Amino acid sequence: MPRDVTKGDLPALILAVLAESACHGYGIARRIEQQSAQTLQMKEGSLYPALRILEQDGLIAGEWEVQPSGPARKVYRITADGLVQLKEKQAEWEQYARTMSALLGRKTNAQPA
Amino acid sequence: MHSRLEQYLQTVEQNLRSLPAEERHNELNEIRLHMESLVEANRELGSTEEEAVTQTLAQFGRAQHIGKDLSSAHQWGGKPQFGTLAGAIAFNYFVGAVASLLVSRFFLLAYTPSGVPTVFWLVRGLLTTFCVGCLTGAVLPRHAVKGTLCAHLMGASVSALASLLLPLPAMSPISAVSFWGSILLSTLIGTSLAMFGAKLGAQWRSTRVKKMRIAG
Repeated sequence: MPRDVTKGDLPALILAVLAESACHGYGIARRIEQQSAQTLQMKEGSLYPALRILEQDGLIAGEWEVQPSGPARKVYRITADGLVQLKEKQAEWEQYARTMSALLGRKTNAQPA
Repeated sequence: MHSRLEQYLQTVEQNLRSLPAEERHNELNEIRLHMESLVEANRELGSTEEEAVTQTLAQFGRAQHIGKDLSSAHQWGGKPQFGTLAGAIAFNYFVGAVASLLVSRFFLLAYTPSGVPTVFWLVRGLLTTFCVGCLTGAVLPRHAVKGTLCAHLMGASVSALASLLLPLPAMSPISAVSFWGSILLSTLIGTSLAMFGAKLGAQWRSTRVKKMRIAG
């Protein structure tokens, strides 16, 4: 079932994509789409404010690079601080997912009254 | 480029007027390249040019929202870095206090206060606030606007607390409303002017740094 990516989750997704390899805005959007098997949907324009905030916080670094084919593009890379932040986000998310599945699992196993 | 995409970029640009020209150009160029790639991909999936543009615009979201979010990301940045933010607050607060004292002293020596219209004192105060805002932006561009806002909120809170603790002369309800109303209004105008000054100062600093980088 397709789900919209919330503004709050987008920075963590961007960091996760960039932890694999450097990428430009269009590439980041495509990788989120592919890796979520098109389950996660977002307005692609919302990538840019999120990228700007991550850049200002020093979690990613962007640089204009000449491409082998086509015009120069701004390519983003994750920084050491970004990797630390990503690990924190992953831990937070795992904790949240564990709690939710524990709660939901309990509800589905319960017998109706 | 397709005219509907150009129109979209123009709407984004309208919300980015506060950015220096070079940054604005880079932002729009990045979005333009992304949109062109998206149109190309949609065409490869079998859409006509018009359909591909329509799909791209829908996938991108509202231009006005993106422009506003981008502008505020530039203006307000991400999470505050407390060292820089505290520096900007302290700078604005103390330079503001010293500047106000110096200006009051100068004008008290230069003019006799009696007969000087209140508007003059108000304009003098607002000008000082604006100049201190500009200076904060030029010295500490990162978080200058946020720092200026915090310093003004702190100043206003201290003044409000002092006014509550100190005995005020008895006032009729109308006088009290006009007294507190004028204080609130001048604080609002002063804070807005100071934040505007901080933004101008930070922009000036950023343009200067870029010019130096290019020259270097």
